[in-house]
Amino acid sequence: MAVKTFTSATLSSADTNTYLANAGLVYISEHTLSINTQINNCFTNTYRNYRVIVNIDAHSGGAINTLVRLSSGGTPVGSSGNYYYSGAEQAYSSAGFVTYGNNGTISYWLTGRLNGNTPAQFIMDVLNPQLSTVSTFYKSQYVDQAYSGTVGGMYLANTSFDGFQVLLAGGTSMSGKVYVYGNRTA
Amino acid sequence: MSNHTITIHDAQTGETITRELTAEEIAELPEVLDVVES
Repeated sequence: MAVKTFTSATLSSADTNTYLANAGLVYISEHTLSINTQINNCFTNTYRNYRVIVNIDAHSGGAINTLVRLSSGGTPVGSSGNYYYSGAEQAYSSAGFVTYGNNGTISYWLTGRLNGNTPAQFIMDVLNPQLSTVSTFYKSQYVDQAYSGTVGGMYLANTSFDGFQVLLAGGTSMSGKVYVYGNRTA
Repeated sequence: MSNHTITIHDAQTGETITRELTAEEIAELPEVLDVVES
């Protein structure tokens, strides 16, 4: 879509539909985050790629992880051998640069590492989740009050998903919000 | 709320329910992952 330079003080309905309604990220839904959260029917054939923003306002458990598992029809899908990821992070205190990876040994994607009981966020892009003809890929960027990192990977199988779970590995509570957006292409 | 519950949201209908995890689901809950410092 070409860049539009507006010259009139009044937007026409045609320009509104073409240039504003076709914005890249389209809001799909928002949800309350809990210790184990499942979101169904957010991946549809309307969009190919998605962005998920997770605001973790509070959690317990200290230095633990957030993980995502893909689902279909309300049921989590896949096992070890499907989920792969690698990532890197750096503490603000520059205590050390950390790298890590999972070569298909667990049935989750790592989406964030939490250093303590502080607010944390991650932004995850999910590519192709609804397509049954190609693998699903993801990338997550996460931050908290101690460090930031990035992690990404794939689901090794051509499988169609319509939802996902956000889980806290360890700890007994988590609260916040989950926002889901679709990446509109036309 | 214990860590043995799950809250399920439907992005289309807005419906939300919270239920106890089954024993099988509890067994599948992830453990804290170690990373390798380089």
